[in-house]
Amino acid sequence: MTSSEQEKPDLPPMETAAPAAANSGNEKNIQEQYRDLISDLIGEIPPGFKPESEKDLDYKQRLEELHKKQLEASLSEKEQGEVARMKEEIDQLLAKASEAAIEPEKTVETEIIDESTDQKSIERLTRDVRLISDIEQLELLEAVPGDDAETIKRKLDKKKEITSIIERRNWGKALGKLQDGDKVITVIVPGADFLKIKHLNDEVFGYSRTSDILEYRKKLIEEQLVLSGGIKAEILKTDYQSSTLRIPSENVPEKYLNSLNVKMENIDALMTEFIEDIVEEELQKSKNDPIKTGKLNKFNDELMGRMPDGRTVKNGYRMTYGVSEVEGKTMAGRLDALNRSTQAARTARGAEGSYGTEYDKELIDTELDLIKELRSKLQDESITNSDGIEFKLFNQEKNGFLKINKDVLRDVRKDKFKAAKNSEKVLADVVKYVKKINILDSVKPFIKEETAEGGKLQKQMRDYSDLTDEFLNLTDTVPDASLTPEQQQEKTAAAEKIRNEINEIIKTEEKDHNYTSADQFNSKATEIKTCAYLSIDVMDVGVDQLQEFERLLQDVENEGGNDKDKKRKLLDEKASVAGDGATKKMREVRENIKKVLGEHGLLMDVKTGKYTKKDGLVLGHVGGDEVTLAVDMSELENRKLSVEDLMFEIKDATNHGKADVRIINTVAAEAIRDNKAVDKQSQAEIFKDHLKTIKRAEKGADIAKQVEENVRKFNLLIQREGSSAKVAEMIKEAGLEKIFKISKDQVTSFIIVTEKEDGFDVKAEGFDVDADELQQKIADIKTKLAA
Amino acid sequence: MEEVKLEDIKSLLDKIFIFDDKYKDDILSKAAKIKTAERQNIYDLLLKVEVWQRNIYEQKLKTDPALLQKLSGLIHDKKRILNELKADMLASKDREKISKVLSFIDKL
Repeated sequence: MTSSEQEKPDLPPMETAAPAAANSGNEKNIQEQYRDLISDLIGEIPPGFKPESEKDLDYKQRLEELHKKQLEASLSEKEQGEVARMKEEIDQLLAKASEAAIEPEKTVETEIIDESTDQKSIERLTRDVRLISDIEQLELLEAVPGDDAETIKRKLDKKKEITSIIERRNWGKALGKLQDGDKVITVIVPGADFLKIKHLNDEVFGYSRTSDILEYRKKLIEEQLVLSGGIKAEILKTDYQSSTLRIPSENVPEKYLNSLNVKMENIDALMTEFIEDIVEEELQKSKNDPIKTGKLNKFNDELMGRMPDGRTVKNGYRMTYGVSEVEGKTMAGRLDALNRSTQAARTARGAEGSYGTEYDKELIDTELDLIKELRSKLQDESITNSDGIEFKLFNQEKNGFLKINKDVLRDVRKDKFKAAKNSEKVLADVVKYVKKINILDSVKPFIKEETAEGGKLQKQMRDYSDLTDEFLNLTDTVPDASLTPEQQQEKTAAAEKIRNEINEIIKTEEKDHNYTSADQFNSKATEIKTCAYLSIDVMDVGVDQLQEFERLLQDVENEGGNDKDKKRKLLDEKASVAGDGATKKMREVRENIKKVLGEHGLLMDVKTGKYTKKDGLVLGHVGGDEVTLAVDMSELENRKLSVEDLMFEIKDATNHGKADVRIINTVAAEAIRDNKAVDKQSQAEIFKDHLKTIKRAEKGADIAKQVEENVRKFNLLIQREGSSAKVAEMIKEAGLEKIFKISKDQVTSFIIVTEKEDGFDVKAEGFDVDADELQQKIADIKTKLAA
Repeated sequence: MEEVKLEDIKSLLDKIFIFDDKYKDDILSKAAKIKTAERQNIYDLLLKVEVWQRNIYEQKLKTDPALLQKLSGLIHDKKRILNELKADMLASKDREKISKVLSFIDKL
């Protein structure tokens, strides 16, 4: 508080009645009466009361009307006028302050952020929250005596919706459907960077329009590949990267397979047209925004194949396909078929004219030879970037493994490596090499050990199928006269057990059963009044994975020698473990995060939603190489733990597990969540803020990445100089020794990034600096070093 | 000078009953988005409102004993509605909602 309570400012006059025999001499009594009056008049609606029904809304309305009457009864017309005037003054002040608000000026980036919180994303969150609400009262979905036909149907549809969510998570069932002799078709998205979903989402169209594109893509695949041609194809799995179809062995018309190329060409043409229409619409909307117009035109040029360097390349939305056949009745046979069809689809990316191919032994032989050839060509080469820094491309390890330079790999895979003029040809080969070794890439939430016959994946397939069948056929809510009371009780208990299991599955993340599902995360996080979001990225997961692929491919070459059959068999073997390294690393990171939260009793009990030390889930959203946690700051306060301390603990724990993580804190706007009313608009505001707060972490992540990049640059400089003396001096002069630590001629950094009112702070233990200020200081260091 | 936190503005708004809840929520929501320096101005203005409110009502209490009489009937009506709500809440399964709502009602 900054002003004394005794302040008597310049206030509007009060109306006074004729003095009556009141407690004029007793000031204390008047003050007490006033305090009592406040507590009687304060707050129309009890905090925490969320109108959820007509009856609740009626309460709300009655209380609001009463409050109005109370004010009219106690204030004269003139005094009411003064209240209105004071409100106006406040509104004007707020309006003026909002113009100079902390939100940055609208740039294309912030407009995209706003678009990411548009109607579609609000609807998505609303569905998530509704789903959680439904599964917390599953018994209400059971038919009861007296239900009419429409109600019975509605309830059953809802149950089917829930079971289909579980079915989608049932990887085992999808795989289990594949039989000996079945054809597997995998369709993968275009490889071009400008068509990557993250790019479309963040840079070009925003969430809503990108979702439209993805939905249309799904629709076209169904129309063209499943529903047309009179064949019995079915879609086994779809994710953001690919779709997998099954054609039963008894019905594999040659005509269909021969027509796949034409079908894919149709899909390309229709997708391209669809996206072009979206570009046109967005260009219309952004007539007065030259930056956005520029981005859209650039995208359109790329879509049409008109590249910035003047080349014309394959245009359109060119997805590719691969076909393979299931050999045998084992899980291994099915997985091989999946991997092979994906590999075939990947090899087709480079092919002119054709959209895909059947898995062909010779094709794979050619790919393996090409990869070996490229590596031989590059292994003794160096590459120089536009800053004049030279990198040796490959390093040979003791076991003979030729490992590509990690720094080069990191930048090349993100299309960020800018080559010096004389290194452009080398760069083109490196880009090709990196694309080729990605042949082993596939999205799977399991590791090889879990796919064994009778293993975890198969068990899940059985368990989930049994569970969904039982759930759909529950009848405990319909009294059964043939049962004794004890038998009825047992039946109810068994049904409850099934419902609890469904509840748990829906609330638990498919990729990691220690974490909440996305629905549960969105539902619970938006209920936390003072919510801090911790965005945790594991560094270099993609890079490490590519290096894992590299090693596996070299194993195939070395162990296979000149025996092509042996090499193909080895490739199947290696493909079945490819990616397991990254999966295990991410699981370990998440396990370490869970341990830290568990120690502080911050895990969430699935049934009660209360915080617990064990047997609970991390309230988090699991991504590919990232996790976003929602932390209740009032719970931290109760435990006398600051957000920063928690962040350092997490970073420390994951570091000991040998993973480097980036950890960013952003905070939700408390005032929005303190909203007493739960009408649609307020709920939408809370969801928007939830999405925006998570999105803002990307800016924090960019700051962390800059620090990491500078660590790498300082280390390269030290290598060149042969000593860290110069770098150490500059860092010390800038006062950044805690951010960039030097030990044994090696620079390292151990930081967290936290959001504040008007930007971010970068914090090391016992030190913090404003992010903009840090950037400036780093720029100064670089200038001095260059000089 | 210490920064004005949102919590400070909320505490102040909690004492101002001449503004309705919807308006107060609107103020808080806008205050969340503005610079701290501007929040000081909002806070100062709200403090003036609070002081005006207090002065008005304390004066009325001194000079108009009928005021409490007038209001007590309406306050009684409010308590009646809240008791109805309380009974409904107790029948509900949502324990967290119940405890929040009841602790408010029981204070009255």
